[in-house]
Parts: sequence; C-alpha cells; structure tokens
Amino acid sequence: MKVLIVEDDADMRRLLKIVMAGLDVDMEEAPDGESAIHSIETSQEPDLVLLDLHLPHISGEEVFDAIRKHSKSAIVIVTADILAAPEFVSKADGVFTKPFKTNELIVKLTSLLSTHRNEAKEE
Amino acid sequence: MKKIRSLKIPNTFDSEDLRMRKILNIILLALMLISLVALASVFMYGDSVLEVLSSDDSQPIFWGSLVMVIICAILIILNRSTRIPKDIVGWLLVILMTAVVTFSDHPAELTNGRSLIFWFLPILLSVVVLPPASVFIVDVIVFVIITVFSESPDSVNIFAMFVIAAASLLAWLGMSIANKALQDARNEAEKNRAILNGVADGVVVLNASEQVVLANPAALNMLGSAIARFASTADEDRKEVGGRVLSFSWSDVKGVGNVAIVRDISRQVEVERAKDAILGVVSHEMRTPLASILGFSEVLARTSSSPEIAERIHVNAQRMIALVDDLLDHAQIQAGTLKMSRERFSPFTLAKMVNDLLTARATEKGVSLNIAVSDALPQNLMGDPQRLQQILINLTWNAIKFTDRGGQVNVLLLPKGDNASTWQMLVSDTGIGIPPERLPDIFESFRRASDYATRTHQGAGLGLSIAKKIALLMGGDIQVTSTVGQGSVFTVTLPLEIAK
Repeated sequence: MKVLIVEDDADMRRLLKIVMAGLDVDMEEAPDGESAIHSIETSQEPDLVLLDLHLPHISGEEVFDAIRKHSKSAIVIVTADILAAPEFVSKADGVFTKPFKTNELIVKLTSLLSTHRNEAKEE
Repeated sequence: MKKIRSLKIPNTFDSEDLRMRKILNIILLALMLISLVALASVFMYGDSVLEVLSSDDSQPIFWGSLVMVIICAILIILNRSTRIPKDIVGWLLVILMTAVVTFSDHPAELTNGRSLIFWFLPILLSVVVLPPASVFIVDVIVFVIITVFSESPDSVNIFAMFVIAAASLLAWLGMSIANKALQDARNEAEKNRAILNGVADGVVVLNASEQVVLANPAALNMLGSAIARFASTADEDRKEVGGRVLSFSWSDVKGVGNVAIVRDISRQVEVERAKDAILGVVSHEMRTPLASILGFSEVLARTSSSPEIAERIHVNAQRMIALVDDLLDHAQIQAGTLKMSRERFSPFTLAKMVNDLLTARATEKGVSLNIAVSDALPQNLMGDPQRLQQILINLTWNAIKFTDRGGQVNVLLLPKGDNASTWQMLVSDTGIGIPPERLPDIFESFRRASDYATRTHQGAGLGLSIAKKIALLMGGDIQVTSTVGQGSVFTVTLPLEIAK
C-alpha cells in the first residue's frame, strides 16, 4: 500500500509520517502541487492521498481534480482552511481540519486503506 | 449624456438684476401695448393719416402715442443689454412716466385738480423698478413740477403734497420689507445650494414618476451616466457602479420626493475585505504550526516517559486554537459573513456531544454536570447543530468554570410551554453568581480578565459574546438571571422548527 502526503509544511509532513508509522504503508512526500501531480502521473499510483488545500503555485483544489482524473486513489483532505473544508465533505473520502486528533486520523486512514485493499483484491 | 449634464441643482431664485429686468420688461411691454391701443384708437375717428394729423383733437394723441411706442421699444432694447445698468433703464422709465403725466392735462388740473392723482403713477413705479429709497427723489421732482406749474405760490396744494409724501413713505417701507424677505430667502437658498454642492455625499431626488429632478455634483460624480437609470435602484441599499461601491439611504420627504443620500463606501468595503482576508490568513497560518504542536504532543504523550508534560503542551496549544477559532468567529460575526447551516439534527445527540466533551473537565474540577433533554421536545429539529453545540459548550463551560468544587451544573433542553414555537436550552449553576451591575455587559466582547464572564475561553472574553450573537443570528436570544452566591441561569431561546 502506498500513501502520498501532499503538504507544504515540513513539520506537518513529518508529523503525518510519524502518526502513520504503524500503518505498514509506503509513504511518499510531495511539498507542492507540481510534484504531487508529477508523482501521480509517473510513479506507482498511491492507494491514498493526504492532501493539503493551501499549496504553493498549484492549489490543492487543482491537485484534487487532477488526482480524481488520473487515479482511483482515495483522497483525504487535511487542511487548516476551516472555511474551505466544508465543500470537500461530499467530494473527498475524508476531511480533517488542522488541528486534527491523530487517533481519529489513524482510524479513518485504516478503514479507507482496508476498503481499498479489499477492492483491489476483488479486481 | 447631454440630458445628464444639464441635471444640476436648479437655482430657484433669479439674481436681483434679472428679477428687476424682468419687471421692467413687463411694465415696458404693457406701456407699449397701451400706447399702441391709443394710436389705433385715433384712426377710429379719421379715415387717413392726413385727416388725423389735421385734427386738433387727434394730433397730440397720435404724436404722443407714437413717441411712447418708440421710447418703450428703445427702453426694451436697452433693458436687454446687461452692459447698461438696470437702474438707468429704471430711471429713464420713471422720467418718461413723469413726463407723460406732466403733459397729460392742463397745468391747473395737474397742480390742483382732477389730475393730481396721476402723480402717484411715477412715484409708485419708482418703488417697483428702482431701489425703494429712490421714491423720495421722485417725490422731490414731482413737488418741483407741481410748484413750478402752479399759477401762484399761494395756490400750491400743500395738502396733496403731504398725502403723496405719506404714500411714498408707506410704499418705501412695504417694498423695503418685501426686499429684505426676498433677500433672506435668497440667502437661505444659496446657503442650501452651497451645502448641497459642497457635501461629499451625493443627493438625488426622484419625483413621483421616478424621474431624477435633482442631483448634486457629488451624486453626478459618483453615479456618472448611471444616474439615468437611478430610479431602478430605488429599493436597493448598496450597488456597484463603475468599480465603486455605493450605499444608498432613501427617505420619502413630503413635498420634495424620494430623496436618496448616496455614499461612496468603496474604501470601507475594501478595508472590510482586507480585514477578512488578513484574518483568514492569520487563522490559517496559526492553525498550521499549532496543529503540528498538538499532533507532536499527542504522539509524545503516548511514547514519552513524562506524558504529563506532553499533556500540558497539548492543553495549552488547544487553548490557543480555541482562541484563534473564537477570533475568527468574532470577526465573521462582525463582518456578517458567518455562514449558518440548516440541517436536520437531534437535540439528544447535541446534548450527548456536549456531555461527552465536558464531563471529564467537570469531573476534574469536582463539579457535577447533568445534561437532560425533555421528552416533550421533538426528536429531530432543523438548525445548525455545530453552532448550537458551540453555544451550549460556551455556556456550559462558562458555568463549570464559575462553579466551585462540589457544585452543580444542570443543562436542560426543552420546548417553551405547550404548542411551542420556540425551544430553550437552560444552563444553570450553583456558582459564584454575577453581580447585578455586571449583568448588562457580560455578553460584550473582550471584557477585562477581572470581569465575570471573561475566563470562558481562557481570557479572550469572547465565549458568551459569540454564543449570544450566534443565538441572535438564529433568530433567538440568550437571557441571564443570577444571584450572587447562589448561581446563574442562562436561557437560550430558539425558534423551533420540527424536521419532517
């Protein structure tokens, strides 16, 4: 299983990696929208993307649309923008506003990854 | 566009000069008309010009009328030229009138007979067409003529002269008063016009058929060509015109029309937007590092050998997040941009959430927290559960904080009476209570830390203020009653809408 962390804040990427350490997944990091899209298009498709909305150059919204277009990855929004978050509730597979509870994030990610794993097996 | 440029504040008063010239014109035209009639009447007795000229009766009337017509015509032309002072034309007219009277009858009749009354003509005329005091000069002229034409010094009619003088005095007095009143009115109008021209706010007046009848320069400047379509904005209070945000305040002024005060609030709107944007950025920028602190402290609490230190970091970072949230809410409420959702929710779930979130903190403080929902309250209501939860948490947490160990905080959700159109959330405590003089302002934002209500969110003093404002936005309200030493009751009253 592979998780892509799209987050411009290095500390936040580090925190997410530490929190997900017990999940037994490969983690890839993208500090901005370009590298996230590049990663989706060129390397192995991630099972899950953790996506920040405020990113330099290319916004999280655009990255969201690009991922949806190119892959079947589950997308979980992790954003500090509490005003923009509500509109992703129906579109994304999960929405967390910063600060999030680390254990709640883990519960959500575990459930999404297991669903994804089962779907992959069925295919 | 031409029509728009011509729209200016109408000057309802002619200048003094123009007014006088108009009066002179009317009098001259009337005189000319009378002379023309006299001229025409001469020919009713004779067949030809020659016959008229040979008749002793008709000849003076013919020549007199003809001269009058010509002089009047000349004076009318002179009166049109602004280069010739109006008083010159006025004096010429008075002199003409005096001459006409002088030669209108036999000297004996004019000085002491039936035609004495004709001397009032030049005198009254002078009051009207010349500065009122000129009447006394004309008096002197008339007296001189009467004296010169009298047969002997003994036959001069002193009594008639006295009456003429008295009439002149009265005429002068009346005209002076009228002129003063006119001048006052003119000054007042001029003042109002100067104010309308000078104010930065636009003033536009619409008549009953919604046509623009008046617009001051500020209004023309702000609205530009849009003023032609101004009536279409008659029910709006804000509009963007040519990149500017204008606010309108309308009032129906009796006898004037629908008056709009137009104000350019572009700058204000810009500042408001910038403030919102800054706040959004600040909130976001603070949230990101705080999220890291909270996340790392959570990890640390699980893995570190001194989890209580990690716990303190966590609690304090949470306080900061709460503060950032409150500030953002406060700013959104102030800016009127706080969005309220409308969804189905269960009052029971709402109560349970608050219970789950605050029980631990109440227990920690040694306060017993009881939350109950009345059976009479419908199972599902419509509203914004997140914001309702925020109100209830703010009030309940406030109550817990101001209740000493061993005390009680009771929360009750219930409909207000039977057939209720409103429902209530009651938060009562056995706390320290609020002194009566504090009651009126406990819902104010940013109360000082020493005040009662401030410690709600660890110091910002926004908790109660936000709760109250949200309740008001929901069409409800929050009331408080309190007895010092016995406790307080906060009552949130909200419109009740049952979910279908």
